[in-house]
Order: sequence, then C-alpha cells, then structure tokens
Amino acid sequence: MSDGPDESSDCVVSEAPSGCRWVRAAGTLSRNARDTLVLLPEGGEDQTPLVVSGSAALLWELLADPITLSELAAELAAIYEVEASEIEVDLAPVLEGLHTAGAIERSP
Amino acid sequence: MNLAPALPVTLEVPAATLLARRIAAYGLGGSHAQNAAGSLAGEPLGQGEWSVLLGTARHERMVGLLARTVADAALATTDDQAAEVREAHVAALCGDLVHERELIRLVGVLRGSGLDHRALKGAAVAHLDYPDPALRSFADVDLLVRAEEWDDAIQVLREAGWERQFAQPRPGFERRFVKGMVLRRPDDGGTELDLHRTLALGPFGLTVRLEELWADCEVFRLGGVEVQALPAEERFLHACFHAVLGDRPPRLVPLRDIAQMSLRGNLDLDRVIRHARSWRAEAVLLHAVELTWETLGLDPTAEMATRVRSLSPSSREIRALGAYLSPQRSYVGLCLSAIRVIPRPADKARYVAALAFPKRDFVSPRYRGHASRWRVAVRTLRAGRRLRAQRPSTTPHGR
Repeated sequence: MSDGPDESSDCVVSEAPSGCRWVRAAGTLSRNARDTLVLLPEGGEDQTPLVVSGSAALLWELLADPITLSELAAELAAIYEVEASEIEVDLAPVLEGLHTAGAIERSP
Repeated sequence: MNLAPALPVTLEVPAATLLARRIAAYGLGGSHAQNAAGSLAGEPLGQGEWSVLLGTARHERMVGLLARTVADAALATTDDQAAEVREAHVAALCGDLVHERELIRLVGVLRGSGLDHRALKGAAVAHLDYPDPALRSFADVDLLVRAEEWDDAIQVLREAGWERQFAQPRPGFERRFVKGMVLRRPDDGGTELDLHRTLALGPFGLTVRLEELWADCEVFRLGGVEVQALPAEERFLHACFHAVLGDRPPRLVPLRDIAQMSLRGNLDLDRVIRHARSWRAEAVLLHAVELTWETLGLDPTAEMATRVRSLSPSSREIRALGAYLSPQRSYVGLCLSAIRVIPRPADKARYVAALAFPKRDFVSPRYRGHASRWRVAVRTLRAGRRLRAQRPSTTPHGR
C-alpha cells in the first residue's frame, strides 16, 4: 500500500520519459457516477475527494493497469474518433492533476 | 402476518412516498416493482413534488438509486432536476469515500492491536451485495467487535482519538449487555463510529449467539486493504434486524438491502433460518421479509418469501417484537423486555442493578439526577401501559 504520491511526485507528466507508465495508486478510493468520477487518494489529512468529469470514468478504467500517456491517448482517440495527438495534449494536465493529488503513480 | 400479494398502493400513502418506494425497488430482478418503476417515465414532477422526492432520497440514502432511474430514463425529469440528482449523487459519493477512508484507518487500528472486527452495514453491503457500490450510500462507519474484547477495543479507540458520548452504567455492563456505542472524533467533521457488540438493542440483541458471528467472514477490498465483513447469511439477518428493530418508521434502504440480498440468489436459506431459530429471531426474519415484500411490491412467489412464510415464531418472540413495533416503544420498555431473555439469575441481577442504580457519571449527562431519571422511566412505562390497554391486541399483527 502506498503512503501517498510516489517518490517522483514532483515530476511533470508531460516531461516524463515517453515510456513512463501510469497506474492507479493502490490506496485510492473511487466511485463512478456515470461520466463523473469521485476519487479519494490515500494520505494526508485533507479528506476532500476529487471530482473529475468528462471521460474520467473511462480514463480511470484504463488506468487499472500500467499504461503510458501515448497508449492512453490512442485508446481514447479510437473511442472518441479524434486524433491521438490532440487528446494527448488535453490528457497531460489531467494526469498531472491526478498524480499531484496522489490518485495515480508511476509504475515501477 | 400474511405476505401482501402485490404493490402496497393505498390511498393513505402520499404520492412522493409511493414513488420513493418504487425507486427503492428499482432494478430488482423479477419484481412487480421493477415494472412499476418502468412506468414512472411520464411527465417530470412539479417542483414541489420533486423537492419532496429528492429530500426523501437524501434522507433515505438512496440518491444512487434515484440517479440510476434518471440515467435509465425510467423517471422523467427536467434538465435542472437531472442536474440536481447528479449533484446530490456526487455529494453522497464523496461522503461514502470519506467514511470508507475512516473505516480503513479503524481496521488498521484494531488489527494493529490484535482485535477481531467485522465491518457491518453500509460499506460492507455496498461492496458485497450491490452490483455497483455507487447505488448504496451510508452515513457512518459500523464495526462489530467481540464482546470479550469490548473494553480493550474502547481503550484502543480512545487512544486513537475517538470519544464515547456516555459512561457505562456499571463496569462490565457494556461487554455483557449493550448493543453497542456511538463514538465520535472531536477533531474531525463529525464522523461517527457505531461500534457494535451485537446486532440489536433489547431482547433480540441478547439472544443473538455472538460466537456464530465470528465463525466465518467474507472479505472485500478497499483501497488495497482487506476488510472483513459478516458472511452473506449473517449480513442478511443483520439487515432484517436493522429494518425491523431499528428506526420507526423503517427506512427504505434496509428494506432494499433485504430485497437485494434475497434476490441475488446466493443466500443459503437453510443457514439463514437455522441462525434465525438459534438466535430466537424467527419473528424478526418473518416480519422483515413481509415488510420488504409489501413495501417494495416484490413477487410473493419468490423462494425467500415462500420459505419464510412457513416459519412459526413462538408467542414469546412475537411478544418481544411487539415491544419494538409499538408506537410507544421506549428505551425503558426494551430494557425491561430484555430481562426476560437474560439466562442466568446472577446476570439478571447485574443487569437490573446497573440500570436501576447506575454510576453518577452515567446519569448526569442525560438527567438532572437519579430522581429525575426514575420519574422519566415511570412516566414512559405508564404511557406505554395506557396505550397497550387501549389497543385490541398486544401483538404486532394480532397473532
């Protein structure tokens, strides 16, 4: 079980090596309400859940197993019929936010 | 005590209550209620009725089910109403996760001290009995600990920052006789821990064979942590206890829990009935299933309904149940009913002595003194006796 954000918590998702894989942090609690995802990462005294809208439920599903930013973008691009490069640009700050909150971590 | 054959549609029941019942039954396979829920897709409710329905769903902690009926278009709503449901559902889910985080911490505290425990009700039922835990919200954390480890558990929890509201009447009283205790942590937003020794207040709580609750467990995972819960049959009987012996009038959520567990098809009914008999709680099982089937309009030919209908609880059990179902139900009345089921004379004496002459720190937060406490008790008992004298029968259903 993780004690919160991993040791590279100060890393920036968009600047991480392209082969860097991301995965849900084991201690994160989650619930889906249709297209809204509610997350409560482990650690810290701040017990304010994170509410993520849009295609968050699908994104969370994909993060069940370690996956790179490019692979995530490709999966979502196929579903939403949009260019993967466009999605990747939008996806990076979302992953960044999830990583900063401790909801996801870099897969070893 | 006959099972109602169809939907309990009566003129006395307000429309919003009927709609709430149908929503509580939504998605249950093979029920009449499922069809009724489908027929809700008409015109959106007016704002007044809508507010009542949303308030009821919040109060009954079934916003998840309401959200599901809206998402499935089984209930017509305006765009604003649909947005209100989504917002209410997300708020409920945020609360659920905060309680689950607290549950994980508590499991760590108890496990770290070598104390056995089982998660009860909300989180356990949401994860083990519902197809999606987002359908079942809850308002606190419920944990069962062993009676013989009660004092140790209280001590460990106090060291972890949890505070009890009341002192016990006499040393040793709680580990022998109480249902449980609410603890709070003053330094957080008011999360409540409902710590249980048994499954109900009063006589039915004292006839539960506690050792049977610890014989086995079912495990679910929360944030990577294994949490132990009661096995399915014991969980089901606890839902029956909660529905029938808890709030008056009963909440819809425990009724939904009973229906949900009954219709999933994984309950060993022989084991359920064996436990109910061993705990002298056949009357509770029978009444809970009848009430659920009647309120939610479930198929009366379902196996659970037919099996339970064949039970013949003793008159003593029916009388005990009457004390819980009476409109004049009181804590004093349930305490007195409990005396009958305490087996050993020495324990009876301890029980009566502790309640009759408790320590002062038990009395003072609730009453001005011993005399005031006695006056309230006598007034309560007199009121109950007057009401019983006016009624044609002392049993809940005239049996």
